[in-house]
Amino acid sequence: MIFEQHEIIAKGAEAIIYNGSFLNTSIILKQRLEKTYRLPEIDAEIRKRRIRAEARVMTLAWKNRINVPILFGIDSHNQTLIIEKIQGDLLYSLLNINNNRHLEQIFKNLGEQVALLHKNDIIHGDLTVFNVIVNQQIEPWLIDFGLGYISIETERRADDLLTFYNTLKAITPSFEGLFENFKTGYLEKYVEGKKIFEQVKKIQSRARYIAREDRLE
Amino acid sequence: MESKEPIILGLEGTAHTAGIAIVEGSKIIDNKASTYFPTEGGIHPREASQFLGKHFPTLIEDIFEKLPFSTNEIDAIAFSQGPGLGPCLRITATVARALSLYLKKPLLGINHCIAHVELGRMVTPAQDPIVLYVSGGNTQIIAFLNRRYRILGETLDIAIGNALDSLGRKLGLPHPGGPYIEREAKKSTELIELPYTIKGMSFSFSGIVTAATKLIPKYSVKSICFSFQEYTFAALAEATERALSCTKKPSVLLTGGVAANSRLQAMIQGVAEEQNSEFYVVPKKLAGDNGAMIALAGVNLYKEKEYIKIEESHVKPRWRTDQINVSWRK
Repeated sequence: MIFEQHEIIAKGAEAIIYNGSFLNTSIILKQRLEKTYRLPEIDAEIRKRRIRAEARVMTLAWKNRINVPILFGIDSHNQTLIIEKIQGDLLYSLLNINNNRHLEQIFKNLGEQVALLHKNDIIHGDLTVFNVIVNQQIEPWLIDFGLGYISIETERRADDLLTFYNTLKAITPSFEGLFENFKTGYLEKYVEGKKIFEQVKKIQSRARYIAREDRLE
Repeated sequence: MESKEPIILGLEGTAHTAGIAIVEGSKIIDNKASTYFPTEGGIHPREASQFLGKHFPTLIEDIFEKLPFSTNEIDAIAFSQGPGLGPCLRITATVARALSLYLKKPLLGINHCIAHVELGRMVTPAQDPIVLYVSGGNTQIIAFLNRRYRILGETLDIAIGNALDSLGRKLGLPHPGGPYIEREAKKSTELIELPYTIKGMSFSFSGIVTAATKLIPKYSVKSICFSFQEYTFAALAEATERALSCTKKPSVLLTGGVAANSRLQAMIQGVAEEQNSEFYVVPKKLAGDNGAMIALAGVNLYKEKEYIKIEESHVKPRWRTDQINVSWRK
């Protein structure tokens, strides 16, 4: 094999992540795991569908010069993706550092990156601060397209924004300003952006127990 | 310094159950309930509220008769202030205010969802779990983060119990549909493809009810039930696993009426094993709506002296889990 697999660096909800190397480049290997708690038929179908979608989506994003790791290859026999390693910190871990003066800029840039995804019909599917790496140059990189897919629907884009908003709200006390920065970046890069935010409100209105003041404005 | 644990009377009435309980600290002294079953269709808010109004007086008489001490020993009245069906909440609040005035004891307004979580923490060893709260009205993944109970994921439309009830009706099964669907599902292993909806840590169930309903003319009831459970529970399990993986909490706690489902229990236990966490489920008797959970949650608020005045005791039908300042947890 032309790539080497090293130690496990993380075990996520869906996959084991290994360090590795490929032509002297640091890579990660993402191996999707069997989930024995769900029926084998459902499990196999989900994993097959997702590994294909993930590869397709990453490639499309990369071609469009969005900040995503390069996909080097798929080892479908082992349900493994071979991906460029992005050096940096999870955005989630940066949120816990008080008075991080870069956060506003990071969130604005992240809004821009997500706008580019959506402009190219790419839906991330699990857009949260756990799936963004910030590199040394303070640029946000989108990772983990495990729930990603391609869609032209407004509502699917709105799903991404709502997932991002809800998770951010759940884990960050000062989320409002940061979300505003994100929104600014998003709207700057995407003319359709306003329409997507309108759709977010529509989705929220279907949920139970959303107090009026909690709706996204 | 008072050494004795507070004695709290708890009243639950957010939807179909009129529940009343007396607790002393974490000890449940008495816990009684009457549950409304619609003769046809689902829960009708007005009929449910009339049911509560009719049953609370008998329940109160009953519990006072068997009280091992005088009613004067009761330290406070806790009631489910929200979220839930407006008409039901108003009946319960009225009963609570009347008791508070009559017994001259302070009033405590309890969030129904948090009461489920707090009861789970008291009756199981789970101290700081990811909570999967599944019932007819609510489906949420809750974790204690940054001094509040945060909702990491939840249904974007209807609750899982609501979905089960609704499918049950379309299949001609009695209310509540959940237990009947579980029974039917056990008779089949034929999987029919249904949508699998997961959005980050959130999920939605109304689309899958529609899809399952369309299968009725072509497939057997048992296979539809089996497939419906497998797909919806797999989505709940996956979202729970993601929440565990993100927060690294040491345990998972399953509660709410749907927690009684053995297939769901097995799946969530599987999730906990995958993430090397402990798995706990609230016993069936206490997982559904009950007065004890309100009284137990009341103990926490009583210790913090967070009483509410009668004039400020209006009900909160849309009260969110993450709006509560959790003063009793450090």
